[in-house]
Amino acid sequence: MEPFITFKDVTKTYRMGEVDIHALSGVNFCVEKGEFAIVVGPSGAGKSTILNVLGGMDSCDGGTITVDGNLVSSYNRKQLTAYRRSDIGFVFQFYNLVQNLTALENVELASEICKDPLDAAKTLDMVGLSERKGNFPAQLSGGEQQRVAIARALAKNPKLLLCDEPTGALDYQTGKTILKLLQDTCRETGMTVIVITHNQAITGMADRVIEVKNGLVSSMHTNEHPVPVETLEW
Amino acid sequence: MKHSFVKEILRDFLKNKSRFFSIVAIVALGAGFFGGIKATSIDMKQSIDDYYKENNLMDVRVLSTLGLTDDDAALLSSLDGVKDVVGSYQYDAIVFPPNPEDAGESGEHVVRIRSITEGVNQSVLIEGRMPQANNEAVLVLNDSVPPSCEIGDTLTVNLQSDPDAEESLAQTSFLIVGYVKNPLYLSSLNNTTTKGSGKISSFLFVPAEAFSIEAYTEMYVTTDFSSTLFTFDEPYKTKIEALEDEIDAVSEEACNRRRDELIDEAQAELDKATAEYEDGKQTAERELADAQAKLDDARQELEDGKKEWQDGQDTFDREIAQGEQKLQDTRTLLDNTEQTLAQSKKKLDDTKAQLDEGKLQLEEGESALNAALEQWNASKAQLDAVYQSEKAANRLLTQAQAEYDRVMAESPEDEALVEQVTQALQFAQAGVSGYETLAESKETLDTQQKTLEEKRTELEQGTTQYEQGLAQYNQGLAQLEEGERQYAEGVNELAAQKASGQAKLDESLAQIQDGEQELSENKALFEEEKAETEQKLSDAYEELLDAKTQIADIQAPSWYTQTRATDTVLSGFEQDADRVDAVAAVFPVFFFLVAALVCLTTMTRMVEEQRTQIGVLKALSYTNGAIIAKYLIFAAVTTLIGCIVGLSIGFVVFPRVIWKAYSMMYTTPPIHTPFNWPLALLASAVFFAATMIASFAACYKELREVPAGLIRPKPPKNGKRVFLERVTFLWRHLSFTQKLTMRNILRDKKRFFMTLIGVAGCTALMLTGFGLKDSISGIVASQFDDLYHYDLNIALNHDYAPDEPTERQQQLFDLLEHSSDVSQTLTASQEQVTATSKNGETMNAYLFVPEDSNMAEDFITFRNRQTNESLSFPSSGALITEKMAKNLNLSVGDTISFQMSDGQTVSVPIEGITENYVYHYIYLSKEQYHELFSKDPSFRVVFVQTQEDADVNALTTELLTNQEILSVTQTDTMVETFTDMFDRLNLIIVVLILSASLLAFVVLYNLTNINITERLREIATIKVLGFFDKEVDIYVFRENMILSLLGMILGCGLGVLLHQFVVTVAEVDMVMFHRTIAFPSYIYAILLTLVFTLIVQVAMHPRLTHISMVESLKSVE
Repeated sequence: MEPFITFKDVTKTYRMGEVDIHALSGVNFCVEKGEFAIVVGPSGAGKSTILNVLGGMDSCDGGTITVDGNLVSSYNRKQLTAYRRSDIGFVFQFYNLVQNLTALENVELASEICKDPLDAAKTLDMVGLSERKGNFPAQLSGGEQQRVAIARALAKNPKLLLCDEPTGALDYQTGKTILKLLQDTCRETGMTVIVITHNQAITGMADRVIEVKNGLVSSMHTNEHPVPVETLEW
Repeated sequence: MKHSFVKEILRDFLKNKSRFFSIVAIVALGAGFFGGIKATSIDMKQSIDDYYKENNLMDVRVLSTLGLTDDDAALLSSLDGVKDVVGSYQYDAIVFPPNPEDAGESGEHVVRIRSITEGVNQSVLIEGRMPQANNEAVLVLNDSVPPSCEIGDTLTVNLQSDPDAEESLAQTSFLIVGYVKNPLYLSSLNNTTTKGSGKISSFLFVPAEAFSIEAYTEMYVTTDFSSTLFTFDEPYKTKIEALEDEIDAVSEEACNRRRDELIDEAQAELDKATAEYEDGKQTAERELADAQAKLDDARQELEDGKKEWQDGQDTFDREIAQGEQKLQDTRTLLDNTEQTLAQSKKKLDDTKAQLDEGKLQLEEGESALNAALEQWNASKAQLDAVYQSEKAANRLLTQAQAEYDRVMAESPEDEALVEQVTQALQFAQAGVSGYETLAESKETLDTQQKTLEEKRTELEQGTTQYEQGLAQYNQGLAQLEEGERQYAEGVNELAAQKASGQAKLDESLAQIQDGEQELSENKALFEEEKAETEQKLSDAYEELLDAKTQIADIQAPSWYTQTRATDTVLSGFEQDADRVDAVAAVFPVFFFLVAALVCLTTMTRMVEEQRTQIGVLKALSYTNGAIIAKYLIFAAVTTLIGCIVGLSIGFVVFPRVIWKAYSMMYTTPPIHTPFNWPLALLASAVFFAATMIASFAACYKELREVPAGLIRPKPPKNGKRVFLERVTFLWRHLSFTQKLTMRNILRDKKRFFMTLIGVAGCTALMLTGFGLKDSISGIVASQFDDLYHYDLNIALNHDYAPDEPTERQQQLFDLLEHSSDVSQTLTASQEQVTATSKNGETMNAYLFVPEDSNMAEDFITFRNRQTNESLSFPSSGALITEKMAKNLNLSVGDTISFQMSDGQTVSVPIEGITENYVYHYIYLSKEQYHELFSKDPSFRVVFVQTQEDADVNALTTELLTNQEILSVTQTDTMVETFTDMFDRLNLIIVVLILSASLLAFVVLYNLTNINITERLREIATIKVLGFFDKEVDIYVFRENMILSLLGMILGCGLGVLLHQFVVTVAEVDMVMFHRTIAFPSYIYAILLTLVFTLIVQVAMHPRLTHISMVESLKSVE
């Protein structure tokens, strides 16, 4: 059976003035459905670019990207928008909540545009924010904001949850609970989750670890027995 | 300053191009608008003043009702400050249209001919050349109207329509050799004349020698100060007023001198004319008497002839009658003779018949006798045969008798014998009786024979007599025929005589009749000639009388002075310029305010964006001053560039555009648009102050923070619940994006107000622009359609007394009454008065007194503007017009006091305030007037309502032939004049609207720009969330739309206020503009603003689509 996500010889070059920067120079990997995958690598290795092209925020220059049997790499602007709208849930490093909407409204902002969304309030319950639904982002702590962001991503009922350094702006403990939430979500809903991070320490909790270096996948391996988040230390 | 710091500043410009341009644009717009409009008024006046100075326009024009002479010129020259006095001629002539097809509706073409004056009112040649010969002319060119004739055309005076021209002009035909502009003709507005159609179609300048008027029609006075002072400034006006007073002071003397001169001249002429008249009268009378005598002779001759004829006729008639009588007698005689002859003839014929009958009877008798004789002879023979003779018979008888007797006696019984004997007896007896009978017959026959013989004799005698009678008759007959012949001859002769005599008589009668005919013809001719001569004489006499009364009437002339300032055109021009200035005072405030706000938000944003950098600089221990300096320099440079760009454009564009608008009205020289330094400095200073303060305010807040705080990303502004959420019902119905929009709108107050003010300003400006158009263009229709209901306004030369009109007035009113074009007329008095308010403010108004108060309402609608309630003409108290009531702060129930031209001041209670737009009026009834002044008003105006299909132009021309009429003004012409006047403002309104549009564009663009840069992350995030482009647009622009809508609503309110203000400022004293803005104008203003909002959004759309989603991954700066 075809893997859920396949990257095949994916290249991406940014042109910065006179200089061409090869962000991806032939990336190959695959992720199975329902896996909790971590893309890890140092800054500038190309992991954000992988996220961009996988998330439909950018298109690649060469190679093919297949998601759930669809050739995403050949999508045009509009198809990419539709793809982001229905298939992708995004969790940002800096939460990117709309400051002028309450937690619930932020979730609804996303669910409102999907065909088959989850109930916004229930999603918030799920991420443990039942009590803070009516609060504005500024009234929430960083972890709570990230939970809202995760709820917003989940409410769309996407095929794929993409998380960009979800713990990057959080303290250790909060970061852990967020990772736990993500892992639990993956386990409980069977959703494919891809986390992008530079933190090697958390790779232990993933089903699959993809290491990126200099625009190439340097190694990819699966953990037969991923460890619970609580046991991770960094 | 450090090198790197300078570099940093330079880089800022490069990095912040859009910011740079927004500030430059708004400052340029504001400064350009303010400076440009402000400069317009100055440039307009300056250009006109330059034009006047260059061409040496006169300072004062002196006109006299009876012309001016060199003595007057000398007198004027002697006055203080007078540099030069030049006399000039002017004449309005009716000419043959150069192009018959554009002769105007009435077919008459009136040109105003003025003499060329050296050194004053110099013409500027535009094309062709100046006149060299006396029959050459130059045409004054009007900027907006194509010339009525071309160079090379010849204008010839129509002497038939304009017989006076011969007296006034030495030349009656002019060749157009060039086009000029002349400072006297700043406008073609004042182009009415009392001649022809009442409208002047062209203005000509000709050499003074082309005139043959004895006195100058006007004097142009120039002063020594006009070359140094500014025409529109107070010092000049004061000096001119002083000069006017001086002229006024000397005018009386000059006028009296002029009058004496004229009276002397006229008297001499009159004397000469009187003598001529007397001569002529005598000659004529003598000639008439001669003619009469001749006529009388002829009449006498004719009478004699007629009498002679009558006598001849009588004699003739008598003679003919006599002849006829004679003939008649003859005729009778002849007829009698004829009758007698006829009787004789008849008798003769009878006799002849008797004779013939007698002869016949005689012959019958003879033949019967002869037959009887023969019979007798036969009978005798028979008897003789039997009896032999008588004797024998007698014997036989005696024997037979005897025998018988014997037998009888013998044998009576023998019968046979008796029988025999009886027979024998009878036989014998028969014989005897036969013989006896024969004898008897013989006797009868003899008698008969004898009678016949007698008769024959008798017959023969008768025949002889008859023949004698016949001969006599025949003789008579012959005589009768002779008589008959003679009679016929007589008849013929008489007829011939009668015919010839009558013919002769008839001939003489015809001659007499011819004579009579001729005589009566001559007589008629004579009568005609006589009447004519008498008419001529009486006309001449009347003329002499007229001339005498005219001489008696010669009043001292009056002088009128006109200065540049009292020239209606120039003062109109000055008011126009001032109005532009007034508008310039208000409008740029918006631009200024918006520019300050744009600058504030832009700079704030810039400072916020560079917060970290400021922190770093601060941490590196740069002083606050140095850091602020960076932003202040940025603002200063942009402002400077904006000011330079804006003013350079504004100083040129606005004056030119507005000048262009006015040049439709005025024949203007080219405008001078110098760079107005004082204004430039003022405008720049104001904008500098605004941008500096805004920039400083933006920096100040940030600089108060410690460097550490600055380096940390600025905590995002808290989301806040807005008041709208309390209205849960409404809030619940909003979508998230709508809720977001609401919260966003209310989150940033600065932006909120900038947008609101910018958009509101834009809408308000547009609304003001459109509203001004409504206010201005509407009043013409309101005044002349809704309020005034007359078509002609006739000014009379003399007061009209309804009871005793002058002859010419009577003629005029007869004409009006009988004209099929006129439906009704109203006579009124219209005097200029000065009305005063309670606190001493004055204004000029007309005191209007109708001759018939009841009819006034047919001609003028009196009503309250607000309530539309109609007001009746007051029988006591006054009705005053609205603008006057407002300016003088008067209301119903107050008293208005006004001063008449003779200085008398009266007060009248105000009965009502009526809607009116042009000029000011105080309406009084005739009775009220009489009560106030104890005299009748001087009725000098006649208002005329015409029929629907009337030919007003023809009527005007007809009216103008009456010398009682001073002028005829057609309402249509007034409407045109006002419409023209107000149309000028349209271009200014366009400028206004365009500027407002630019303002809206800059504000909205700037706002949207800031909005987008500020929310880059948010927009990127929602894009990542999968919002389609359109959804992103709506997400961002809805805010703008709502703010714009709010701004529009606010702008409408503001616009109404601004409009009110501008209307009050821009309004000329004599006019009241409409106070309300028409509904469509609101729609236009809102729609236009909306269009600009949409244009900005369309322009911004690509920016939104190009926002990279990668932004969302970046950390907060």
